[in-house]
Amino acid sequence: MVKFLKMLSISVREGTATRKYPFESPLVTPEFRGKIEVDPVKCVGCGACTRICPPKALTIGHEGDEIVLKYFEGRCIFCGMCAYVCPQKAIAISKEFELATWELGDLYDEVVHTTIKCRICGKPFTTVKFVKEIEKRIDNKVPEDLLTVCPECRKKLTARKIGSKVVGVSGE
Amino acid sequence: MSHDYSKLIEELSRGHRSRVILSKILEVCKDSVLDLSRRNITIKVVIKANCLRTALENIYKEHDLYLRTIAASDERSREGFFKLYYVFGIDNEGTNLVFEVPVVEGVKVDTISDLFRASDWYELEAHDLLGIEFNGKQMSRLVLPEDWPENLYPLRKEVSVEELKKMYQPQLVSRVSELEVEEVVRIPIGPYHPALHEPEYFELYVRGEKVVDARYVGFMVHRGIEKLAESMKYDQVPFLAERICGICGFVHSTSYVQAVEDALGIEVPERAHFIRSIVLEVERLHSHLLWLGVALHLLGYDTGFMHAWRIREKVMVLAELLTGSRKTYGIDLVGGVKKDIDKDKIPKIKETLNVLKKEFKELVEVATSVPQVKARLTGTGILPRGEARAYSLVGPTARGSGLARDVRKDYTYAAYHYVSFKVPVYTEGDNLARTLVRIDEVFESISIIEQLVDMMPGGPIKAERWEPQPMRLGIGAVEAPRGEVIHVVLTDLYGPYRWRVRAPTYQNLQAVPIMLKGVDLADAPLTIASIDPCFSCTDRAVIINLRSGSVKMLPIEAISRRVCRNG
Amino acid sequence: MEALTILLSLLFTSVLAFLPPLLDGIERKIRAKIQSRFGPPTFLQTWYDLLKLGVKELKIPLSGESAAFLVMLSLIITLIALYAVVYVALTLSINIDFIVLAMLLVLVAASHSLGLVASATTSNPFALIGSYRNILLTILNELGLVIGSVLSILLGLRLVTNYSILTLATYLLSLAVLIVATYVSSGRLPFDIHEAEPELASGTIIEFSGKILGFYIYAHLLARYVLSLLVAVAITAPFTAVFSPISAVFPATLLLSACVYLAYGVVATLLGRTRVDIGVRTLFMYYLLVLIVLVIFTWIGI
Repeated sequence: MVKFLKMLSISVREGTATRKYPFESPLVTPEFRGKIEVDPVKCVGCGACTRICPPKALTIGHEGDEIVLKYFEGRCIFCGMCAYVCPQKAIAISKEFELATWELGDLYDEVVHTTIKCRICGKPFTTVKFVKEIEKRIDNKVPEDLLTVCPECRKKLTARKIGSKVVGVSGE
Repeated sequence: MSHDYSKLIEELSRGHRSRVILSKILEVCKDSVLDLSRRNITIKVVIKANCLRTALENIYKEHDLYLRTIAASDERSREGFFKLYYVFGIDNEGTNLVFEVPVVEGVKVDTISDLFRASDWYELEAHDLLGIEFNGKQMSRLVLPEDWPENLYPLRKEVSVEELKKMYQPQLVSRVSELEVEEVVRIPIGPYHPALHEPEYFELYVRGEKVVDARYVGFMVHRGIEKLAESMKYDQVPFLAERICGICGFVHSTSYVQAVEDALGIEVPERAHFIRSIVLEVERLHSHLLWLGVALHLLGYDTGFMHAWRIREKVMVLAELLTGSRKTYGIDLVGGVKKDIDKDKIPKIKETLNVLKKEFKELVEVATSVPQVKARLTGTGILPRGEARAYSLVGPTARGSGLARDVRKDYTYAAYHYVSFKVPVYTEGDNLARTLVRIDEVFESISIIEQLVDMMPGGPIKAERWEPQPMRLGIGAVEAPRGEVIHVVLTDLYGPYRWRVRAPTYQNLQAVPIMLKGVDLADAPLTIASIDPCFSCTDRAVIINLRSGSVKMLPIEAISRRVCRNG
Repeated sequence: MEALTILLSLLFTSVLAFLPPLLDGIERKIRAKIQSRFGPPTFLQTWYDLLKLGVKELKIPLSGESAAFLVMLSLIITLIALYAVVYVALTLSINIDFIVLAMLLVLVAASHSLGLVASATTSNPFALIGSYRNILLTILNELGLVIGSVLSILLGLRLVTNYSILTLATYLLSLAVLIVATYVSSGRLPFDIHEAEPELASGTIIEFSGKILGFYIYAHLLARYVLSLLVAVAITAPFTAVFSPISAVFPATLLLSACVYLAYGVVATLLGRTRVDIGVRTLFMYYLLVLIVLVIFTWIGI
């Protein structure tokens, strides 16, 4: 009947369970996933992270002559998929989660890459680092003449090569 | 088709029950059955709409058959019609029985809501979202707001997500109504009330202190998740699924990946199964502790609430240690998981579980000895067993009324067939029974985790590679803390073609008005809370209120017929 | 001597009038500690809350002017009741002034009824649910309050002069009645049902806001303290010195009143909320039983 009095002894034993949060550090385990940090040296601008990011916090796009990888902390859901798929292991997951700020600009992080221009049409199509990385990874070297050609021009080139083999029309 | 079916039935049946049921169906409908097939535990019957009702009339009396969900899908671009997938389960045999019914646009389908009462909401939803018409019942808006424009069916493929996003405009819904104070007073609870955790609207009709009737209007947090997933890739959807619910996210993401794995026949490594099971049970622990705290708070016993959540905090820290986040674990991927449980975490798991066992036992002893708690839980909110069966209820709500239904035993998945555990069942059907079911489940979960941790195999944690195939049907079901979660997936090349989520509260809410009849007003909040409602799971559409332009507000002040005046 | 006692009573009343919110602050801290959390940052938190409410704008619901007036009236009457109980405590001896004791009971009952009427004048049907529950409970409880206070004080004083087992037993029984009655009257768990349920639109208090709410809460806390002091008086009655006009146990009585207040707070933390029919039934059975036993004791005594 009076078992509920045991609550008093439980509270005495447990003490205070809460933490005075802003004045004490938060309780975060070593496994905690916070915001990500993209290493600008390792990143090659391939865009794999942007394709998997569920809320589209990571976006990649051309800005003039450069390719920029943008990370918007406001949309990030801290799932860590970008770190999981990055072929260069360039994304590290930090433990920071206290990201509130007065300036919206603080929430954007960028990694800027220089681009390589297509030798045929002159348009920038991918980053210099990406091309170098492909060169490094593929054992039998990619033919030099195709490495610096943008996808559009490469389609045309390949079509002409096939055409020249079939019909005998000579091409570039 | 006029074949000799007995051989086919023998081939497809998984046991005596499915044989009997299949024979009964084919007895009445042999000319309308277009195809019969089986894959794993799912038997699929493709049947014409005109014979569906006859077939079901013949089998609805089977006691172990229950309606799990109905998924409606727009396949006009692929096959030329809408499809309705009626998913039934045969308990004890663990077989899914799916009726695939092609529906030509504009043709009405016979309703089955008098045979299977649980189908009521599913039919209304199919009508709201896809425009499928049903004969023989009154159609009304269920998941979409009342002033949603006619002839705009969000789940049809021609309606794009951008079009729906443009229509978003937050507005308030109101109903100013007169109160009859003499006999019956109508007390609205919700939708936006400071004491509620989610928007929900219950109307309780009370006479004095007794509730005589109740009405539920929901779907105010309908976010359009099913439509959104159709534009996402396979491995992005688990993260969306996780955010369906604020407490039980992992069951949704696991259910989804299981559905895809079932559809495409992906072999998931054993270690991944074990990891998923462990995390699922950890989630069950924290959810039940949360529920216990809330129930004690509703009874006024705040001290119990505080201590229950203090104990729960230890489980949250454990979850963060295992998966990287306190709630949105983010470890499910199609084909496995993405985070391993290393050896050095295992002592920590065991330590936490030991502390948890001790403290939880203490808390339950103290809480149930408080006289008010016992007195108010016993004998209130009774749900008779017959009603529980008729409404195809699931989870602790059903188990508190004597129905021994648990997906972990009946349609076993992940690593549950390796462990031994009891499924607690109580027959009284009152609030106390449901409370005790959940308390016992906590102890069972602790024992399950201990067994799993001891026998975890080595190996990879994710399937190496898998190929997507279009238009395969997969069903994934998981026992969430609230009941059975079932996802139905139709695959496409890069992502799901159609994804249907059915959370347990969707099924259980339909029985709340029955539980509330005859209950004292003071016990109404506790009775509603005893089904452990998770409205975010239930409502999955968008709060869109527009075009008609009518601004409707629901102020609680309006009910008192007075206007505040500055003094 | 008369003037001195009156002066002293007024002095103590004016000081003690500031005590209830401080005691409430301490009670909140104790409750927090039992619940393993920090609670309010200081003991003065309730005072800060009341002062904050005092600077808010005055908003009275349309039919609420009578309720607001009745709250203020109830507050004044409770202050007078505080004076009366301090006077009784100060002059506690076998020559106790019965008139003041009677006045005290009338004042306490009056403040309760004013509170009830105030809550019943609302037109909000949800608040009315709480008011009706409160009325039901209070009507039943006043019986216990009157019997308990009169019997325990008189019997406690009689114990000083003629001690007997029967008198002791009756004294303890009436003390038990007084304790239960004052506990129920203080509106703490398990009997805080006048606020209806947390998920519904609350009870009587929802009608007030700003200044009026501040006064209502203060009047409520003051009434709690008056009753705690009454219990303390009843407990120290057997120990009062026989001869001096000013009771020598007065300091002990004051200290005990604070202890009783806080003890009630601790008990409230350990229990849940009762349902109105269960609560009323339990209370009724309890009082009925006690009444029967008291009648038997009286019959034996005579």
